[in-house]
Amino acid sequence: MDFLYRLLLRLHPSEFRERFAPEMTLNLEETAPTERSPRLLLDCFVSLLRQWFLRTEWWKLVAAAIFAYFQFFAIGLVWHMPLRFPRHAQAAVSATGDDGLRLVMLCASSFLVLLATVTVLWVRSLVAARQKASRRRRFSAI
Amino acid sequence: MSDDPTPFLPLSPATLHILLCLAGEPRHGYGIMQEVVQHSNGQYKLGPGTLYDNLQKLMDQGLVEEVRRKIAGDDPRRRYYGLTELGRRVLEADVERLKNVVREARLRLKQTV
Repeated sequence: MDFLYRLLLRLHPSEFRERFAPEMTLNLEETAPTERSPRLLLDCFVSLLRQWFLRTEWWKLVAAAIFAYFQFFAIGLVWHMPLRFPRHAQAAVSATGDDGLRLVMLCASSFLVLLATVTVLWVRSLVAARQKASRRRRFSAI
Repeated sequence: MSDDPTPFLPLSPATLHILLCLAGEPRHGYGIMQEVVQHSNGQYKLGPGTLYDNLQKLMDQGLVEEVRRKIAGDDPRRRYYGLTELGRRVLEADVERLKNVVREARLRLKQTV
């Protein structure tokens, strides 16, 4: 249970982790084994969700990335659709090979866009967190 | 930051309990959890996740601050939290609001009897 609790703590956003995780670990160590219930884990899990979805802006970024992905997918579908109408049946037969390739390329490119977006956002938040931590260190040194 | 307590009202149960605990003296996280159980006669239990999430929010809002307090033999990981002036005013305003709620409730209950 201790392992799971520490793992859940490690999954919290860095700002929260740096600020409160050492004290939360100390609290766990001070809690009598009889008082350590699954409720403690549940509480930590709820806190994890709350931290990521309410206290950080990450959910907005993830939602934007997912929405962008579906947009790409919808554009792909619209582009793909005329080939399915009967009057284009002839064209569809001749274009089947290209069609599949086109769809795969579209999916792959939209996935790459999604991956790039998430990576850029992640790196930016990491840099911001490091800058904040170094500012805090400088402040405490003063 | 504005000194007006009204935007912070009404306080959630967890926030109210935390501020009440800190009204007397600065306390550490574990102390707050134990105090909440004690003053609510065991009816309200605050988990560490809920406590620290609320503490973070309250510190960002300027209602609670970290207090430097060194006690011999204390673990270096231990941190103490205390009420700020704004926090005290917000707590007083919420207690006043609750008093009015109780007064109103008593009045209405008397009428129905």
